[in-house]
Amino acid sequence: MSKVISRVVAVFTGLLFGTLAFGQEPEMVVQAINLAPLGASVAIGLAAYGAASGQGRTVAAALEGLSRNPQAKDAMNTPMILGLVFMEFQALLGFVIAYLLLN
Amino acid sequence: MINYYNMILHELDLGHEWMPTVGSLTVTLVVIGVGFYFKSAIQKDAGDIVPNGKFSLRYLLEVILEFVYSIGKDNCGDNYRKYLPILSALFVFILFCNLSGLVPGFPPPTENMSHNVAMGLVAFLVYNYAGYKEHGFGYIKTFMGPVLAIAPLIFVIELISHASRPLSLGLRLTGNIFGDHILLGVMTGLAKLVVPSALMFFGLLVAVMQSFVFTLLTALYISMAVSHDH
Repeated sequence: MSKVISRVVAVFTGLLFGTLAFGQEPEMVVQAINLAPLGASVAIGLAAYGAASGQGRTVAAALEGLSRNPQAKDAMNTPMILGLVFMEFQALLGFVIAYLLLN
Repeated sequence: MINYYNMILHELDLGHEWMPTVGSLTVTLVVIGVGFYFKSAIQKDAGDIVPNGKFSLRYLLEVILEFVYSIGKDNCGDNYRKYLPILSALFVFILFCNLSGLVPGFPPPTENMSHNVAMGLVAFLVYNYAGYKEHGFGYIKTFMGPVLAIAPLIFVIELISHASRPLSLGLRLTGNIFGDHILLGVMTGLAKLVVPSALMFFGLLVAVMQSFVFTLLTALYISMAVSHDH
């Protein structure tokens, strides 16, 4: 076990001094990559995936309940729409963050 | 892209940041005009219960207001008639704001965050005032929870929850309308002719749905403030 730990320490020490050695090179070219579009795409994609998945389950359950008991339509309508709205709000937060990342 | 509000602002030598104000003012004037038309149309043939069979703006508004009446009646408790004016005002104003975005050249004023959070603050004041009128100073007990020992903890949590309500109302409306408008703009840029009309139908659904949701949530907040089960 101590051998493993000593190997890990050795590897990290090497990495540390390796970065120091890189940092000492005078003509190192630093290329900045703008990752904001990637982040915005991931944000809106994950938000849309989560919201669509949740809304799909909600509507499936509501339609199943409605087909079993069609008289419950009026009592079921408002809670279902409220649930859909609160799920959609999470997707909108993802959209807002993606929009802020791109500006 | 054509924008008539920017043209007006350019004539008046005002900045771009006044655009939601001008849009809101235009929609307010339209809503006031429609309201006066509705009042005169009702007063002109008062007492006729059966519609006269012709389609007019009056019957369209009657359908809309009957819908708002059902929202208030289902959600606002026993004294729902007191809250019908604010609910119908919010619904009709947001509906006209959203629908003005479907006319090319008129960006909807509801796509701006400050406009919507202002309306959310109005809803916030209304439901807190309704709760105060219903309970008196005992309204503060609805923030406390049932057990006195953990009342400070519940009070802080309730305070955060109440403070986030106008923000979430405004942000929801902004995100939907702004996202829909951006989608319409992008699709108009990609395919000039047929595809945007399908998205305009989708925008019609979003406009009606979001005004319904804003009104429904305001009605639910009012009913939570005036309920006696705490």
